[in-house]
Parts: sequence; structure tokens; C-alpha cells
Amino acid sequence: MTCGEARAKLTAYLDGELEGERGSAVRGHLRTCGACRQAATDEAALRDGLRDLPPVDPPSSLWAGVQARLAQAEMADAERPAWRRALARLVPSRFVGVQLGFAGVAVALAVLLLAWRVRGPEPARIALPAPTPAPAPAPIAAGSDVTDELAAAAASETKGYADTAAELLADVAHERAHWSDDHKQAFDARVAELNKQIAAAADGRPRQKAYRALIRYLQRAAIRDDVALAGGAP
Amino acid sequence: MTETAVADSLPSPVLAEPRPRVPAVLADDAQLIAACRRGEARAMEMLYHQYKRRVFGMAHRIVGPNDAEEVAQEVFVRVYRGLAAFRGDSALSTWIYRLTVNAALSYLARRGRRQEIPVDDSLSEVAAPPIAERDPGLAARIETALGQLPAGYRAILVLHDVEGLSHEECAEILECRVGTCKSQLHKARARMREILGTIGVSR
Amino acid sequence: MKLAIAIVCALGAPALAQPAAKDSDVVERARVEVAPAGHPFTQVAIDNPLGDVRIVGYDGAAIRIETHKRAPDEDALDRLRVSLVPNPDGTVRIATFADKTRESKPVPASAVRIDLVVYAPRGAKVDASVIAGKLEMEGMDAGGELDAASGPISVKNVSGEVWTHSVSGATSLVQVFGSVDAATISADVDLDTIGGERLVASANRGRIAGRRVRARDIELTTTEGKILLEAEAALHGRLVISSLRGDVELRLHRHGPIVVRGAGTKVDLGAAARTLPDGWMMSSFGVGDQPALVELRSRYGTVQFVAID
Repeated sequence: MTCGEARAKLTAYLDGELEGERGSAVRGHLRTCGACRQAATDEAALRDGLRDLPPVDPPSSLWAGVQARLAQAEMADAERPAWRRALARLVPSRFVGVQLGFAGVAVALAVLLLAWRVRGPEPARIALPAPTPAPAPAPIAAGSDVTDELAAAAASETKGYADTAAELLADVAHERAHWSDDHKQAFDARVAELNKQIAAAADGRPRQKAYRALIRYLQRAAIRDDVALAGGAP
Repeated sequence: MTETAVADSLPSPVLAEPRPRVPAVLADDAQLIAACRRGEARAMEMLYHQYKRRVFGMAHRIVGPNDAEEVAQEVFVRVYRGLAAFRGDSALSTWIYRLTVNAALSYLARRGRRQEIPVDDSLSEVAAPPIAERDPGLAARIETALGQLPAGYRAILVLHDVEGLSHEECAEILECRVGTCKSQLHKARARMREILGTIGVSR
Repeated sequence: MKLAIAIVCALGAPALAQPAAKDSDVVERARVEVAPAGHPFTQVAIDNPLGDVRIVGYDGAAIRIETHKRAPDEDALDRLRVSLVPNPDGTVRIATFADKTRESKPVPASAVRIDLVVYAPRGAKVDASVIAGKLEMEGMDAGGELDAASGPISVKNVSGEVWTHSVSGATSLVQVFGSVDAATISADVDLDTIGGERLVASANRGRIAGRRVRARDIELTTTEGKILLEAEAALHGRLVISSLRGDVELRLHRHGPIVVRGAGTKVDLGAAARTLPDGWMMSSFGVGDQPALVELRSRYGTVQFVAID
């Protein structure tokens, strides 16, 4: 074994990675070659010196710094436009090149796996939560059908929203006595706008959503005198 | 020198098992990750305390004491924000250390290689100067010499020799083959020896 | 090119021959699985006016739906349908309805139900609505919107933007990280371990109770009910808690400086509080710039603040 060969294997030898003959060949060379032995000694000392370096303790301010940065990052997230955020959710950075185009894309296939029908008390195979009793939102006429009742339920839900809005309007009326005229004007304008959206919305969920926006606005106005236009809600 | 004296002074090979300098990682990474993803403050703090020494230590030895805190902060932010996309292809620790090394190296690259000596791959295998005694200032000299190493060599030395990680883990962290890792380590140590001159061995 | 295939699961296993007896409903179960074709599912929309919905996130690409139908007899059972429409843009719509086209005797809503359990990939956004059934979501990472009339809503271990609204269904959110907006008309809102950038909760007639809450921007509002919150102040955070007639109580773990303002029939902000010229009381804790701002107000109720270091 030449010095060149020994030096090349030195690291592996010192880290105990050379087994059997290969290790002993290096060892044999080291016995006879002072220069290589010196190099080995130095590298071993270096290795041990590195290993024995004192551990560095992080300063106690590190955690606060981490939290502060996290906070900044979160605030930056809030500033990004919604479509960017949505896209980031759809396309995790790991998946490079995912295409969202659809020409000729096959549609997912639904496979009916299992179906069975029984009569009587159900066997406990699928662990579903115990069914909650379905309350009747309106008195059931004799012979009424589930489809009619569902329609009625939807209508009564919307009415519930409308009633709440009316209550809150009454609360606001009580509070606005000490408002300035500008304040009252801004409030009235905003309420008119929200009412227009309610009227324009389709029946069912869209209209309920529009009611919720009005209700939230009225709450803010009644409790905090907050009539600013930015007080929106879904 | 007599045969016996030579045998006594042969440097002893050390088993290739990694010798972690800090206690082993918690077994249940999955629970911790899930809780951190949910934003549970306690879990996030627990993860921080578990990894703070290694993250800060690696950052410290790669970028130096002045910038270590900033890099370590950046690493933890990347950890918490990146956990959502962490698929578990590697161990949590490996992933965190990879983030640490990458953050440290890119920080160095951005800052400019002020402390670097240009990489010289043709190692001159000259005979080393005479032996000096090992001294208490060794640690300090090693740290100074580390600061003068090229960044890539610094990383492998810190991971393998300072932190005691295995070749396999180093390769995963540095995203290279194990063989490449080993040869980088060899070169890194050789370069360190050049920078240090001689290091003594206690008799 | 938008392809939509409506797959209606009409399940036609032969009925067991047994005479109808009281309390002896016909029950039918089915399991359907939808696999994605190419790219992962992005959204699952579920509309079930006939029973409960439970959405469970899991680490897989397919959507698996377990349906559980119950009716007084076979005819009624046959009317209960689940429709499943996967779209090429990655959204899947699941809806239940009672078929009206067939000639069969009317059956009241209280006698039939369809309950759904949907296992979905965690990254899919959820859009679910029920009327009186329970609505539960857990283990999902892309948030969603949950809507109930009188059924309770439960969100657990979810991240992303989460919207919930309910008329009279109790709403509970546990371990939610991201951005939360929970609203009820006449039900309580319960929050446990919430984190992220924003938490907005409002109840018209109901209480809001929260613990281990750690969002940057918190806004809780009730008209009628009490608000009781135990939270951690985020750096540079903002907490606005207000009620018209309810009492407001905040226990705040603080890590940095905070400034607290309060107004109510009786205000307790701690010993160091002072009264401002506009009638509000104010107290500050800790030193530093950009403190977290806390505003507590109740028109006709009391306000209490406790800082915990």
C-alpha cells in the first residue's frame, strides 16, 4: 500500500469503517510510515476535537424571535390575495407541474362497494353516531310529505333570520339616539344596500347568507356603534 | 521508534456508530407533528425545545455566532410553516436538519463568502510538520478553523463530526449519495488539517 | 369541457320478507367510493337535509361515502336517494333528496332519515349543510363552510379557513388552526384550542365560551349571551370582545405588552386601571412598542379582565 492509498483510506479507517483485511492493511502501513502515522494522529485528534466541541446553547430570546417571525409570516399570508392562497392550497409545492386544465380528462369513477338492506334493529357494523331526533319546525299537517316539510323548513329558517334582523334593528333604533347625523346616514345607507342584496338573492341558502351579513352588521352597529362600510361578513 | 512504541501511538479507529450529542428524539413524531399542524402551542414549544440545541448549534457552527440566532429563527419558522407539507418520507429530525443546513448555507451565500478560502480539490499530501502537544485552546482553534472552511466542507464536518450523525443521515440531509458524503468528509478533514497546521495528541 | 356524471345510488337489494311492525324500520346501508381521475379532489360539497353528516379526513386520494338510510317501509326507503356528482375540476357534490316522482303515500320527515359519513382526502375543502341533523367535520386541512339550521355543528382537528353558521344548533370548534368564523343566531358557541390568524365568533342569543385560544385577531360578539374567554395574546394581536346585554370576561395569558380598554356597567381591568376622558377605562401591562390591543365592551353588562403572566 502506498502513502497515497493509505491517505485516501484514512478517514474511513479512523471512523471504523474498514473491516478485516482492508483495515489491517492500513494499520500495517501506518506502523511503518511515520508521515502517514502523523496524518492519522492529526486527523484522529481533529475528529475527537470536533466531537468534543462544547455544545452551544441557544439564547433565551430565540423562541420569542421565532414567534415574532411566525406572526409576521401569518400577517403576510393574510395580505395575499385569496386566489393565491387557494392556489397554494390546491397545488402544494411538492407537486410540480400539476395541470388544472381539463381537456379530455376522464371523470372520476364511482364504485359501489357494498350495499345491503335489512329490516329491524340495525346490526352494529358501521359505527355511525346515534341519530338525533328530527324536530318538526312547523306543525305537520296530516298526510304531509317529507318533501313539503323540507321546503317548509327552509322557509322557516329564512324567516328566523328575518325575525332576528328585525329584532336587531329595534336594538339599533334604541342605541342610535346619540349618533351624529352622518353616522345615521351611513348606517341607513348600508342597511338599504344589504336589504337589496337580500331581495336579490335566490331562495334558500343564498338568501340566508345575505341575511347573515345584515345581522352581523346590525350587531356591530348596535353594540359598537360601528357603521363603517368595512364591517362585512360572509 | 520501537515496534511497541509505534503500536501504542497508533490512533485508534472508532466504531462508525453515530454518537449523538443530545438525547435521542421522541419516538412519537407523528403525534407531535399532528399537534403542531393544529397549532397547539404546547406541541410547538415542545418541538422547539427538542430541536433548539441542534438547530442552533448547526447554525452557529456554519454561519458563525453573530448570525446564528437569525438563521435559527428562520429555520423554525420554515419548520412550523412547512409541517403541513411534510409527508414523512424522512424522519422528522432529518427533515429539520436539512432545513437547518439549507438555511445556513443559503444565508452564507447571500452574505458573501467573506470567510472562505477558495476550494482546492487537489490535496497536497505533504508530510505534516512535527507533532505539537494537544492544548486547551484546541477547541478555540478548531472553531476558528471551521469558520475558514468552505461552506460545503463546514456542513459535512458539523453534521458528521460535531453532531455525530451517521453517513446515511448526513447523505439524506445533504441530499447526496452516501459515497459522496464520505469523500466530502475526507476532504473536509484534510482541509481542516491544512488550516490548523498540526494538532497535538496527548501522550 | 365540463363532464358531469350523476351517479344515483339506487340500491336494489331484495327486501327480507317480514311483516311491518311498530318500531321496525327498514334500514339500508351502502358504501360508495370515488377515486380521483388524475388530480386530487379539491372540494367536497355535501347537502343533506334528511339527516346527519360526518366528514372525516384521512390520508388517501379517494372519497368514500357510507350512507345509512332508514324508513318505515320499503316504498319509503326506495324514495330516499343519494346523488353523487364528481366534476372534472376536482369537486364532488353529494346530495340527498326524497324522490317525489313516484306514486307513493306521503311520509313525514320525522319518519325517514339518511345519515352520511364521508371520508375525504385531507386537502379537500368542505362545503356541507344539514337542517336538523348533526354536522361534524374532523381531520381536514383545507377548511370549509358548514351550515346547519337546528342541528349541532362540531369541528375538530381542522386547519384552514373555517366558516360555520347555524340558527339554533350548538356550535363547537376544537383544535382548529387557521381562520375561523363561527356564527349562530340562538345557540352557544364553544371554542377550545383555536390558533391562527383570525377568530371571529358571533351569537345573537347564545353564549360564547373559549379556552386555549391563540389567534392573532380575535373578535367575539353577542347580543344577548355572556362571553367568557381564556386566551393567549399573540404578538401585536387584536382582541375585540363586545356584547349588548351579556357580561364579558377575559382571562389573558400575555407574552408581550398589551393595552386593555373596557367599557360597561361595571368594569374591572385590574388594580392599575385608570379612567379616560371618554368614559372608557384603560390599563396596560408590560412594556414595549406595538402592544397587543384588547377592547372589551358591554353596553348593559359587566366587563372583567384578568392578565396572567
